[in-house]
Amino acid sequence: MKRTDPTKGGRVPSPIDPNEHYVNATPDDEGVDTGGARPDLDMPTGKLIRRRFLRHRLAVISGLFLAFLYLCIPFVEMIAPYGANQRDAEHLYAPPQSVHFFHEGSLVAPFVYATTAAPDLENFQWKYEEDRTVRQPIRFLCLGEPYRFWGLVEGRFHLVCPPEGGTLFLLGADRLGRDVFSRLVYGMRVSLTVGLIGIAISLLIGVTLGGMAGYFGGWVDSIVQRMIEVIRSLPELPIWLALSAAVPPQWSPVSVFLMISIILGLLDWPGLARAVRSKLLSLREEEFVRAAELIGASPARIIRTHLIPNFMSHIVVSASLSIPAMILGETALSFLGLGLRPPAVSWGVMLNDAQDLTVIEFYPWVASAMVPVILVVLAFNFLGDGLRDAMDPYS
Amino acid sequence: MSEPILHVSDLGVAFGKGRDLHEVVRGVSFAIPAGKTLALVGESGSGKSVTCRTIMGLLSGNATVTRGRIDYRCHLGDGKTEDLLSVSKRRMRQIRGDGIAMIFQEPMSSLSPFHTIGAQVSEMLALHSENDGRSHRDRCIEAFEGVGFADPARTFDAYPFELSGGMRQRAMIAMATICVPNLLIADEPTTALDVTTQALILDLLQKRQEETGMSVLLVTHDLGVVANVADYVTVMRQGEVMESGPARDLLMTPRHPYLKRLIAAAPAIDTDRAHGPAPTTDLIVKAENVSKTYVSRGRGLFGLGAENIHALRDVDISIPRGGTVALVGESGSGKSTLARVIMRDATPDPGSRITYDMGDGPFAANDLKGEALMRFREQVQIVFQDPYSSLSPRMTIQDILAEPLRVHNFCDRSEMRDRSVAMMKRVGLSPDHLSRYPHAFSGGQRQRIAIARALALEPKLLICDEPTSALDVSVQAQVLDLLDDLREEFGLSYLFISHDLAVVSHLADEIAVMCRGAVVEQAPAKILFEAPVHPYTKALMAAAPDPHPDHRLDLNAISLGAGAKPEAWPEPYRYDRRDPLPLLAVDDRHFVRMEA
Repeated sequence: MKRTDPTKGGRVPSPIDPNEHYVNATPDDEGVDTGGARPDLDMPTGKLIRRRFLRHRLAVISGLFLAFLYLCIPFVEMIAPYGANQRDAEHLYAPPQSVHFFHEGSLVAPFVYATTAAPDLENFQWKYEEDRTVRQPIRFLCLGEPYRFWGLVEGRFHLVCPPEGGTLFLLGADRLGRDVFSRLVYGMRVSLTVGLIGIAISLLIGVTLGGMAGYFGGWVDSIVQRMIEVIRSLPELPIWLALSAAVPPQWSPVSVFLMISIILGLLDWPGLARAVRSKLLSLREEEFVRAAELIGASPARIIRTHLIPNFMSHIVVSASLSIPAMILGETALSFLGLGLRPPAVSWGVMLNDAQDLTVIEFYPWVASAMVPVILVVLAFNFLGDGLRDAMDPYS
Repeated sequence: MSEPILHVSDLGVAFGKGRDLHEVVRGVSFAIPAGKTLALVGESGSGKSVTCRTIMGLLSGNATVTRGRIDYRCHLGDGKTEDLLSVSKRRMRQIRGDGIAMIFQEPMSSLSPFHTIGAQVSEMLALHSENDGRSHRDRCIEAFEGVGFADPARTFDAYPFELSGGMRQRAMIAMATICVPNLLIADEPTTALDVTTQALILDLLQKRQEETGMSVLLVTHDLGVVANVADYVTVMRQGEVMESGPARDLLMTPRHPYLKRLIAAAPAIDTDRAHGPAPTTDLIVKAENVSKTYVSRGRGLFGLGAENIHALRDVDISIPRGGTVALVGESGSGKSTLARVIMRDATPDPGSRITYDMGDGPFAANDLKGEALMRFREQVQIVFQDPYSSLSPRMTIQDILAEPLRVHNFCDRSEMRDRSVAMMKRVGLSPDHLSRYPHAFSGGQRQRIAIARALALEPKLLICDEPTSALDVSVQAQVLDLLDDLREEFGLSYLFISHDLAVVSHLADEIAVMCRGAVVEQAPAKILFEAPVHPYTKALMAAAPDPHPDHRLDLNAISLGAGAKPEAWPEPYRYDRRDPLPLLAVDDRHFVRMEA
């Protein structure tokens, strides 16, 4: 369709009187055929998707947030000021310490005030007092608690360390005096990767079975459909529990972690398989697929060159929308004490410590793993939403 | 002239906002006098549907009215005119249905599948009508009778899925007119229907108009429809009125070149241009006794009660080398199934024989395997109906055109490029556009690309499955001309499928009219058009609307053969579902299915 400036003159409105034979002075376009053309959509689909995705502000922010978290994952040992299981018996249930920049009215390097602990014999708990006179500057790019980077290389380098002789409990300490913030950072490694491994397994099974069901139809389809129905009808939580209870307790944390991701993946694929199947079924009806068949293209070629490019994007969306379910699954299992077990650290394991109501009442910071769980799940949902809108740029 | 019912002046509607503001209706004005029909004519993108939706206050959220007014005079209340663009939402709801009613294009989706027809029509009464002492049911049944339902009481309790498209459109008309609006907006009310049904619906609309005295705003792209029902015409193109005035004036003496072109492009049966009999000895394909039976899934637990559906019954058809055979029939006639069977996309019932001869000896299509089947795929190609779904949105035009060559290892890479360039030129597109994606092209251009793809392997037989029915009229004519030229140039034979006799009238050498899976009449084009015998053929011919205002639809001829119901045809053509009559030769090479 032609664009014209409506404010420009020269256009006379057509007459009202239906009996008048009116002729517009605009010349004929001689049958220039433009009906249905969308020149604005003339570019590779990837480009269209990117352009459209960038317009979805919430999704972009979520994407950046998640990208930042995943970029941090390899470096958690350096980011966390403390080790995951480093205990400070002097500071059980220490409350969060705030970081200060001003000391007696002047701007100084970030510091914390020293805290002193005193037993409160009335309530039988420790009382922590800030000593406003003792300034303890936080150390940056420093050597601190030793760790084994990736469990292999010894290192002591940290981005942030607690002050000399002081503590840096940004989000407080838990029952054993472990730094909650450091544990959150360590827990992120497990909690965010469990979704990726799970989704990889789920994708592999889902795309294969869903693809076969959609492309071949007939009895293959029936069998896959029945399998999906059976799996879907199993009550999810008891099955998780049963499967994870079967994981031998003497296994190492890494094996347990892998096992849990596999369990989550094995139970998640039906949704993906259905999405793939229905997309394939609708694509098969498209005439360009029939045209390829009638050209004589082999099924393998049709799937590769005609079907996959058209449905890959939908799989990306389905996957990004299933990851939060995996993360929540791991969290739920660990919370119930059936997923990962200490000394492994994940957000679910951390929440396991917060099961007690009195703990929540007196030391709410112990449950701070809730916040990243909620943020990450929301971010994945926004991202998936944005992707879904962007993946169909032709509408 | 009485004061008009509806008065649209200088209407402007735009989509988007800010810099992306894009006016799709630009200063459109027209008026509809009481009791008259104004046809809003235009091709896709002309803004005619947007105009209608603006009148009804049904614009989508991203559209804004930029200027103008819509003055409407309701027959109920004080009879003052009011500007529909500024009335309250509450008043607009009152006007909709009470004063202005609308019929939509798609009868399949405009009725709720969950409620009975009666419940949906009664709702109109419940919302808009005073109680006049009779029950809603009685008034609905009366309305159903008025729109030509044979058993109105039965219709009241029927669900939409029980009715055919034409019957649903009748129900829609009953619903729209039951509260006696003074303006009916009909947005392409017959476009989704078969031609014979279209004729009956148009007739019904006119009858209802006479009975109620309402005005009608008819939106259509079909000048034939306009000639039959409109008093006034407003021709739109790209959001502007190109020409407007009394219907007869416009159609007889069009002044704007655009309207002249539209009238010239309107397909019409032209007996003089129809081809006479072609030599028949050298056949590229000969199909004999072709039947195709689908077994419908039974309702029972183990598929009990399965029913056989005869998609094709004993069809004999042959295509002479270099000739064009057209299959014409309404939806469900089996014409596409026949094409699929012939190009070995579907397996016919045992006993069917399809013999090809590509010039090096005859072979049976159903025995082909492996290498021979690939050879066959090279030689028989197809052009589909829908240019929007026949090209993959993820491939460039270059890839689309090269795909058949790659599949068949037809030639090396550099030659592929050269061939694609040559094909683009041949179908009338610039080779510079090879790197573009399908969305950059219009429907007509996409259909040209689809034709280029089908011709890439230098086939011998090209099957055209309604190649122009999704296109605008003016584009349709261009594509038909292109196909006509290509046949000679590439030495092609065509099997051309259409629901419209007019479309094939100057392309086909021989025409087979199909109905319910059987050929009812078959003859060389000229003979068929000059001396049709079967009532169904006559109905199809009579139902094709002609843009000449003096050539009105012949409803008698249409109703004799309409509805594709062999049980309702007159003797000696009538047959019931079980055994069709034999195909008799009434003349040399002219066959009619009738009693001996």
